[in-house]
Amino acid sequence: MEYKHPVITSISSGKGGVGKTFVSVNIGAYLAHQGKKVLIVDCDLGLANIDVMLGVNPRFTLKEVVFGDTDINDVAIQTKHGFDFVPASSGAAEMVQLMYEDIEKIKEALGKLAQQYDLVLLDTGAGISESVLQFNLFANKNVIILNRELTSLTDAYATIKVIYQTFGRDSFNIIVNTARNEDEAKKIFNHIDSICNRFLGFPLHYLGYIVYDEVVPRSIMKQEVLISHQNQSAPAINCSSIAAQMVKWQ
Amino acid sequence: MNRASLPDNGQTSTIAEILSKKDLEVPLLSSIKGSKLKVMIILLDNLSPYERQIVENTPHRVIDLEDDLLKKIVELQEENAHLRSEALIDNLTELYNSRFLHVQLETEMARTRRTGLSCCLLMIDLDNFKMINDTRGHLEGDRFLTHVAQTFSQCVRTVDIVCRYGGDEFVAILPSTRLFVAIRIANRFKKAVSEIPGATGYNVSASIGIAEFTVSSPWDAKEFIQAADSAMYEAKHKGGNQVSTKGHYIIRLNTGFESVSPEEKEAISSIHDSTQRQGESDGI
Repeated sequence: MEYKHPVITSISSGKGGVGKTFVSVNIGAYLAHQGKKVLIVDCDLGLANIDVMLGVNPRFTLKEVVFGDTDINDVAIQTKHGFDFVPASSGAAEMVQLMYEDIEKIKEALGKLAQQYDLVLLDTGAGISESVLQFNLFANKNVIILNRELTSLTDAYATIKVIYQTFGRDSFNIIVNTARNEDEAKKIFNHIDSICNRFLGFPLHYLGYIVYDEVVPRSIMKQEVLISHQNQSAPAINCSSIAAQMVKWQ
Repeated sequence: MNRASLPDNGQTSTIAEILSKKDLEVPLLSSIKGSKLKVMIILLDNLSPYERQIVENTPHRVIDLEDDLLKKIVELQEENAHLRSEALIDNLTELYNSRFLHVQLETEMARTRRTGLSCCLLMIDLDNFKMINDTRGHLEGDRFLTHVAQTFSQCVRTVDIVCRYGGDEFVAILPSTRLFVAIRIANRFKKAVSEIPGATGYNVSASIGIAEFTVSSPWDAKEFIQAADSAMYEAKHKGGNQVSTKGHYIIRLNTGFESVSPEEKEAISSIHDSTQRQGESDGI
């Protein structure tokens, strides 16, 4: 087996409903399209939903890795979008209150599996629970997704602040989602960047933006990825250029 | 001049003379871990063929007990070895003692800061050990402690540093080790303790606390030990015979980092206002 040194990227937002899963899946598809071996991990351990977005019905999930003896290699499934995918379970209450040891078990399993990939995307849950923080620590690149809403900006900033204060991380990559246009996206980024500079003392990195377009909710409804059906749409082009940026991380 | 001589002693005698004095054939013994240290300094270059032959046919022995320098060398060697073992080794269990723990812990914490690799501290306290002392006497208690020490040494890896912290408390430093590995080692030890002869009869088990020191942990050595100690007490309070952990992540959950301050919130929302207005004026 060929061993790689994967770039492990966490994708967090603080607030829910900002578009983590949409971004993970669509950027993952573009990364795969650019010839990279990509793994997406649903790290929203309590309320997983990438499987729903992909329209797949997984046999095993991370739950069976933690509480059963299922091998992580048996949990990972291939998707038609070119990337592989590790599902989590939805509605499993015991996965919400994971012990530190359990999270470590997941991280250890993922660490082994990751060796087979160029890029690993960890779609963390909303909030700043212990597991969200641990996956951010596990990743070697941290992406924060936010939008123009005040709640999203505040939660994104809170997430950055807690990860900084807990682990000393001071390098965060920002994606502005559902922006009206590039100008607005840059303005939003500049503002949150200036707050980080002012209160935490470090700058943020601008990774890109995704413009609001009706093709996005439609593609989610239809359980499709943009690359397959709306490859020329504005959000698709945005996702593609973010993927192109992330390829440079390797 | 065919003389055996010792530096600066100003006295010389022939080897034959020396060796003929039977009362000088007393080996100087050192008690370093039971090994016997014998010292003999003869400048062979200064010997005649006859003297050489005598030397070659003679078992090692101290030539001149009255020689001050030689005595001093041997005495110092003995004293140093004794001091070293007294200072760092626990007499009963032959594990390292708490003094060595403190020295080595600083070293490992510095290594973590340099390499970024976590290290862990295992703090172990035996549950119900007092029962053995009280009912079977201290000799039996000591015998059991020695057994625990051996078990502990077998459960850790060769790189780990095992110490007797005092009484029935043991500590191990696990260099370059993440918490989940430390938990595995702790569980292995917990199981091994229950298999020591007599352990189940006296209901003796181990309460184990683990603290992980990461590159971003704010602890000094004392706080690191306290963290492992408080994890150990947590294990004890939960009923003993179990493993508890402490890391900076739990400290965060316990004490809570400063959340987003009112000033930060105000700054965020003022920024938000300007982009909102911008958007609205664009007619979007």
